[in-house]
Amino acid sequence: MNEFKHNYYAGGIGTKTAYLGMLLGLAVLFGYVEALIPIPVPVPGIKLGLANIVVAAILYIFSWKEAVFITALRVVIIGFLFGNMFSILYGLSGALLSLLGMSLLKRTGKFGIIGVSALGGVLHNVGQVIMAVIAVIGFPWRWYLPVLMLAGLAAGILIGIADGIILPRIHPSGDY
Amino acid sequence: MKLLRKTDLLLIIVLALIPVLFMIFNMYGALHADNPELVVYVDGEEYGRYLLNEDRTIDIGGTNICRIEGGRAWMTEANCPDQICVHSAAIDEKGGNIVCLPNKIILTIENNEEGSASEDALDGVAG
Repeated sequence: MNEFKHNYYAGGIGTKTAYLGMLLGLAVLFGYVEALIPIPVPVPGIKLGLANIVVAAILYIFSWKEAVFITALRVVIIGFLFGNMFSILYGLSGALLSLLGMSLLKRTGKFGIIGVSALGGVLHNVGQVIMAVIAVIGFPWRWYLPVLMLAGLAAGILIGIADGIILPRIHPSGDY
Repeated sequence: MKLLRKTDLLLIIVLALIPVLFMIFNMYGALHADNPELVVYVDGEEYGRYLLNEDRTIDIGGTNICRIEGGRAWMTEANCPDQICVHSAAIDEKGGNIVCLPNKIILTIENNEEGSASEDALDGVAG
């Protein structure tokens, strides 16, 4: 097992760029898969957010800087491919707030990947509701916020469990 | 190394409690409409009010079409690509919202005070 070492920095910037490019591709693919299978839900905005598996992984393998960079690219690419200007705006506000919370929580060192990802899921939807309040006058946020927070929590926990299983295998030296 | 730490569990409980308390708080302000009407807002401005007990189809500014039938209201058509409002569940006298973010349209339920039975009910109690 130990003979197969993973060093995401070995080989310098080239290796890192290759890995990040691959992870970005994977994130976009996850977004595509989710766009393919629309789940009819009573409240819009509820989805698993498979791409966050990749974002949380980048946060743990590299750092928040790479995660922000890849997240922004992912949202813009998915937005251009399957969405519109609005989905890019909502996606960015959600994803960046989520990432901010996740990196801060991870930095405390007291929480594991499931806790970090759970907060990320909640903040993702909080960020989108904030964007909706800014964009649409009279947006009934009191109604949407608690429902979307719970949905984000559930999605975040599931993503955290997935990353908790995946990450020790692809990056064994990390602390999850 | 454990996958779920105690702090994680604590955080999850806190994160679950906040929206649940929020929902309970919302329920206290829940709508008790005896003469419900659908109110359509476009970009923050009131576009129209329509009683829920009269079946009809409403064209909202040429971008969306809304249907009232059997005391329920839902969006039947929208010109936006995501179609989220069309897939949203119908709303009825219990309240709720349907939002079309791209066209800035909000459908909500309010009580029509004029035709409301509450005044009559007051008289009834007094009598």
